[in-house]
Amino acid sequence: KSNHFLRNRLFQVFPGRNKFLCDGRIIMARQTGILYFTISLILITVALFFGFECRLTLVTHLPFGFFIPIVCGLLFLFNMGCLLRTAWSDPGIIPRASPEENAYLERCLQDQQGRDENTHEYRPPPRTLDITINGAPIKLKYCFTCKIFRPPRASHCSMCDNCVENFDHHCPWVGNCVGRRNYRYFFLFVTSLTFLCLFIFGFSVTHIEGFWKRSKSVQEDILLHYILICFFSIWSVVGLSGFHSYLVGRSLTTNEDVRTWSKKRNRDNQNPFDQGGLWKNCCYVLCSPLPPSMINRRGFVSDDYVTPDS
Amino acid sequence: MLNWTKCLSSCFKLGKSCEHKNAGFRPNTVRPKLGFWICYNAQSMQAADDLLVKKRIYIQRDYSNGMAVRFQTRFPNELDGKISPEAFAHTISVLNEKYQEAEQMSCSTYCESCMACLTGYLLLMCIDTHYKKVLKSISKYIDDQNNTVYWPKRILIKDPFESGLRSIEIVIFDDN
Repeated sequence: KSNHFLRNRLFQVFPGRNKFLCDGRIIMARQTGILYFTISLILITVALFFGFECRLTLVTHLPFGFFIPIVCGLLFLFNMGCLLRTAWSDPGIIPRASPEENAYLERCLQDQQGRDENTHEYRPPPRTLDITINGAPIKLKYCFTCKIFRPPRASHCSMCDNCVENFDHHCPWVGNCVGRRNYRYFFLFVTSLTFLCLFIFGFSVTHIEGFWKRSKSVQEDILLHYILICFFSIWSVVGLSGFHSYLVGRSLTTNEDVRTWSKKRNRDNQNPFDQGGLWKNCCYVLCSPLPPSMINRRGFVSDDYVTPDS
Repeated sequence: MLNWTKCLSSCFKLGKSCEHKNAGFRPNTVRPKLGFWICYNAQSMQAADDLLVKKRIYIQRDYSNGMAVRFQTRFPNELDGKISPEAFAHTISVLNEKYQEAEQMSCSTYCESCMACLTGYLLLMCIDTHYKKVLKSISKYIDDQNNTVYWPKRILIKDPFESGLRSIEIVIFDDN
């Protein structure tokens, strides 16, 4: 009778290059330094804004001035929540094939291929599979690391060494891949960050304008530098959220978009995953039902567990 | 209807033996070795791990209708003589329907997503999503099918969710 205290959890034998925290509840990529930088940047910005704005509302007694820190606080909490959800959730990692499944697949493909031939020499089976989705022909590629035929829209992330469903990109700012399961959190993070930036920027500018005419003190100098930093970061954040809004509207991933640029096709490609219409695409990408994580992180390793690499 | 399936699956996840006693059936210890949750009458059936695995087959995904989760209903040759093609096709088609129900965009799933968003996704920590509820019913259906149709012929079907919805693993045991 095996003692369950001695058994490993599945995240401890996970084959990909991921970091797990909180006994397998949190999953991240290996390099997480930039994520901490992002979090501290947002925290410092909002803390400074609160420091200056509280003074403003107390000093000038604006009517309904108390709304400013409340709205900022709510936006900040929502933004942080989305960031942590993006950074700490499973992006849609596809579990690797067991050795038996791999052997079965190879046998099937060899049978299909060698049906007309009489040679007995080993020929590696074809590594692409042709399927048709909604009339569009698509080639499924074989992933040599995960030993599976990747579903359409999936891609292998070289940083995390995993195949991810609906792979968008690996975001170093977030410290995780962005895939099917956390794309909506990523999109909401970027959009709410845009609003937060614009909000803080707008009120800081009005603050500065009010004090400019009266006197120039050290605190206002700091605020001016802070506004400049905010101004430059806004352009990148606004650009990113605009780009992702376009992707959501067309039901594309960054990966697919980048691939169409490199192929330089002039005619408009019909995306087989387009739901037909801007509103339908938005609903599909942001509100469709979310499957739970397919890699069972907190389950126990069974007695006959075989590592996929062997 | 026996409710040992639910108890057994939760016992397996916790890694402890199932002591659930139900009228007429005394479940044996959970057998994590094969990854299956088999709860059986100790008097009539022999232990599953005394049997050797004869063959494993994998039913692949059917992508002809898009990205939706569907499995091929083509009858595999290895099951010839053990299971009738109609029973097999029925099992797979019911599974396909359930997966379609899980992934379907309806008013309730839309409201669920919107409400979750408005609460800053804290709602997802409190309730099971629609998809997860359907997955639980699929798991239960597979257990039922295993115990009524497939296990008497010494065949077991594994939940495809464990392989990432890539394929349905069917294990055929030696009849000796």
